[in-house]
Amino acid sequence: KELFTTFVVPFEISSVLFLSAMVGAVVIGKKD
Amino acid sequence: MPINYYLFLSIALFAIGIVGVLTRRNAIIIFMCVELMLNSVNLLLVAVSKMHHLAGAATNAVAGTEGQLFVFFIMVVAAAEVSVGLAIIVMMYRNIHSVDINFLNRLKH
Repeated sequence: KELFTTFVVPFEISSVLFLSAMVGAVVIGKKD
Repeated sequence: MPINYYLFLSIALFAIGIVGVLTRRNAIIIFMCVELMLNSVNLLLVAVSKMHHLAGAATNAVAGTEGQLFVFFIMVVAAAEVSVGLAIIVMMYRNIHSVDINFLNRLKH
């Protein structure tokens, strides 16, 4: 009944976007 | 379950968020108002999805759940944007030691 078999492509794209945002936040917030 | 109440609440929250973004001076409050606007849109989408589900001709096999799936993606984007925005604020605080946004006015002089 879940639509994750129909809408799996935006799900993967949004997960990649979220991962890149996390990497970007860590890169901005680094103090060395 | 009067849906008009949810519509008015969402419109009121969105208006408060817009007024807050344009008026406030603290950067953290501006971020909170942006999150408020995003959450008001989420509430609107869920309410309209419920209305579609109730007023649909075939209530047994409903395809009115696209609104709720879109809300899921909006939440993911909001979380990513909050993390990057807070990283920017932390860097700004490290440079000028205040979260006042009028610092960009001072660059004009």
